[in-house]
Amino acid sequence: MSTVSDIFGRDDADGDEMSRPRLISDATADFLLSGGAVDDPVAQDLAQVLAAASAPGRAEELMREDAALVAFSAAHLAPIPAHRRRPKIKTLLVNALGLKLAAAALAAVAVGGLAYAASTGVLPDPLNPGPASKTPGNQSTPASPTASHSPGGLRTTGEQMEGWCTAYLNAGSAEEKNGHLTADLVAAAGGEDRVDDYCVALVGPPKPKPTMASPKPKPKPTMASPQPRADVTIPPRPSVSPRPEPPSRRTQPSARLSAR
Amino acid sequence: MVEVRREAENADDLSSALNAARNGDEQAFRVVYRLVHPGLLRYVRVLVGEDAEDVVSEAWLQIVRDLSRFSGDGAAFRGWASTIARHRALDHLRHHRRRPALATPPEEMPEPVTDKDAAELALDGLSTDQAVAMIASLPMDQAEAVMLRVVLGLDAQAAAKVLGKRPGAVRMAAHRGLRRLAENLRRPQRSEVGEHGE
Repeated sequence: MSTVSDIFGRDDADGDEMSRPRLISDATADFLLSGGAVDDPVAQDLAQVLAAASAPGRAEELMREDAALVAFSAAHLAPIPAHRRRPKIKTLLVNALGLKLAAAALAAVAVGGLAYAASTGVLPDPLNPGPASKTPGNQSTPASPTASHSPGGLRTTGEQMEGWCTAYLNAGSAEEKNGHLTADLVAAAGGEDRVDDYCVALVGPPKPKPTMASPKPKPKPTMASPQPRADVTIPPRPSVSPRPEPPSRRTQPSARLSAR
Repeated sequence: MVEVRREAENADDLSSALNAARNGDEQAFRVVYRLVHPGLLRYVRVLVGEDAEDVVSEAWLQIVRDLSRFSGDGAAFRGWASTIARHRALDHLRHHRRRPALATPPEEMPEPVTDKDAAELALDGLSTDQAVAMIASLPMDQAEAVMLRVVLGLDAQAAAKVLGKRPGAVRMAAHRGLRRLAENLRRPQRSEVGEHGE
């Protein structure tokens, strides 16, 4: 049943600026707002505008999707274990002191924090770079029960090197790490301060890293043929359109961006 | 009807993707983003103009931060995300002038037509940006009501909740917005003094 007031919708509300019959009745307006399609020609024009405004998302509107994913991933990371929380300090110490002294310094930091380490003289004086005088808790000779100490490296195989690297990287404490520093490994890496990078390039990082899309610093190139790191790859976004519907055509006025 | 089924699938898609995303599923988050972000972007564009991308990016930071505490289906998520985006937009407006780069100049409005077929042709090429710009030229309360209902797909109750108003007031604003739009389609907005700011 359709009367004049159904079509034109007189409104009794106060303050209404339209005193003449309305183009759109309340019922039609409610219907359009809920995403319905209509027959009335005036309303059809309006419906087409609303449909265009609510068309499915286009690629140009998704330019910051990857950034949002980074934020999402960061918000869902597991907390990083304590001894890995200060990579910058580790790098600084390794570069400044050489690995054995740096290991001792790291041990001191882990035990009592930076203040403790500084008070025991383990940390380098920034004005006087050089080997620290005290090395608390340091073992003088590293224990390497399984290593073959052939200086010439004649019996050192790639397998052995990988084994030393894996043990080194997965060692829990600095002293333990020290214990896996065989002469051949250090020689292959080109120095104690390069063992970290060398081993990571050889056998990969010791523990699964958080899957963030932001790039991490790559290991330095080394003498051994490095295995490629297990970089995280984000699947490429489809070039055409996002799910669920391609937004290309205007001829689907009812294809809505939002669902009810 | 095909359209109805597709919309229902969209709603299910969002709800299930949301559940997976809450558990840390990154691909599911991408689905959530693609289904919701374009609507947020267009809505915020009506509020703040050109800075919409920055404002909505900030909104997503808050959304992902609080996602684990959110419980609800896809429709509830749209309302929640819209509320966050709106707060960011209003906050932005407190410190920046609105840059209404999308207000459609009169010469770019579709030609006035009396013939129905011609009208359909004129509107057929209407882009999303143009359509959003037309809505953006409405008074702000009308524009917001229309965007939340139509583009973000919120029902009357949810839209009222986002706006912090009574449902009756939001309904009236939305109706007025639609009627004004219909008027503008019949004759494009010129710089008539009486048209603006009512």
